[in-house]
Amino acid sequence: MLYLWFVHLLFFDCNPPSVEQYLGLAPIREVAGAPGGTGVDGEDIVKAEGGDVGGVAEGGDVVGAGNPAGGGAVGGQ
Amino acid sequence: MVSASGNRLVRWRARRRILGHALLASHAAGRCLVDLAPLMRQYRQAQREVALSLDRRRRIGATSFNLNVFSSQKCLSLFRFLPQHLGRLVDLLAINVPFPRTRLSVPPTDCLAIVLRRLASPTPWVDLEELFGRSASALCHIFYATVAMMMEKWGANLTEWRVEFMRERAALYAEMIEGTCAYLDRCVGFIDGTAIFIARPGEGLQRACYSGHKRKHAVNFQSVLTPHGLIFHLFGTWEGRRHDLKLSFESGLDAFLPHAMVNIYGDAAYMVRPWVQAAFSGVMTDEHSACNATMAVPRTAVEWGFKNVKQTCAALDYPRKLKLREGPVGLLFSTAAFLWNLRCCTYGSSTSSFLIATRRA
Repeated sequence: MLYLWFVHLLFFDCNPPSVEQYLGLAPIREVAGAPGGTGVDGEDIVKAEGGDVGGVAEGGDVVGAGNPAGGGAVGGQ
Repeated sequence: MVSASGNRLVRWRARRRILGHALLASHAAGRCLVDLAPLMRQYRQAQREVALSLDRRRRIGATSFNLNVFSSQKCLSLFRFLPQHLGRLVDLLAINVPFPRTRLSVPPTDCLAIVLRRLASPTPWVDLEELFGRSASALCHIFYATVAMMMEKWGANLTEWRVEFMRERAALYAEMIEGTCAYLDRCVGFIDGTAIFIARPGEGLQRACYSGHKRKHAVNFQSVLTPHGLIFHLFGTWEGRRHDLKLSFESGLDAFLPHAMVNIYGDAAYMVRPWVQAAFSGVMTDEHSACNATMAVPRTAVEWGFKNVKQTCAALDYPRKLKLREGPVGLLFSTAAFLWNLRCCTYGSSTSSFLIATRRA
């Protein structure tokens, strides 16, 4: 459990977006725990799974956890 | 009556010329030197004033603005950014302001530095002349032209709900807020109104801009702030007497937030909808009070964003200089919010540090 917590801290990207990302000049990097998002080329980066590190447990995530298609309610469109 | 405009160089030059003619005429008329003494004293004073003004003008003309001469401390104090970041921002913002009428030639770095310096503190233009090596009127012209250009080009980052941006970061934001033991697990930001105090306006705006709640003249803005301290969405300018709920209705958030699949949290002034959660009010049970208490921590931290904007751009905290009919108050606040966002992206903010620390604790 402690190990998982450390892994979670390592991958939890708390940094604000870079100036390029904020201005829309660079693609916004997919953050851990955002299941179902798509990359720049439209491919899924993170598959939506309940036990995903960084995700909110038991489908309590915000956009589209628990959608097994990997798309998520919003992110995979 | 004494005024700064009455003591301009042009006026002193004219005065010196008139006094010179008067002296010559009196001397030709054969008046004695004792009678000419008061006239002579005035002439000498005019001469001295002209010499001082010309000396200052020469000094300003000889100065050229160079960002590299500032230390990091000085640069942060004056421009709110480190020199290397300022240069990078100029490239990213693609600042290119043409001055076709005045034929000013201003490098982009100078344009951004003038905007940052002016917003950093309510300094008179005259004080900035020697820093930038330009006259007060030129600085004023450059400032407003740059602000207008920046907001025309990048203003949409503030005034529009950026679906892609929020889509990618919604989970992170929700997790940051939930990490502070907040009871909402899908909340991505906090909505609130902020009042910018202004000088008492005339011409029929006095009553419209008077906020009975704040008991001051103000203009209102509505912002949605993220846990990183970014002002994600800004709506305004509205008269100071308007309630937050009116701004919420007029901002049109209700039109697209239902499709955004996220919700935001506001204080008890907001009407509860599935996409806008608000604090419980009225007769509350213990559970309601507990829920409010859990949301109070992140909400308070996130609302430091308002304070941060005014601290970074302290010129907006000086109502006497914010006059509705004389300057674009709304545009200045939008610019300040945009610059704060850039600063937040570059250096982070106390809000995100606090939330991360709370989460780890």
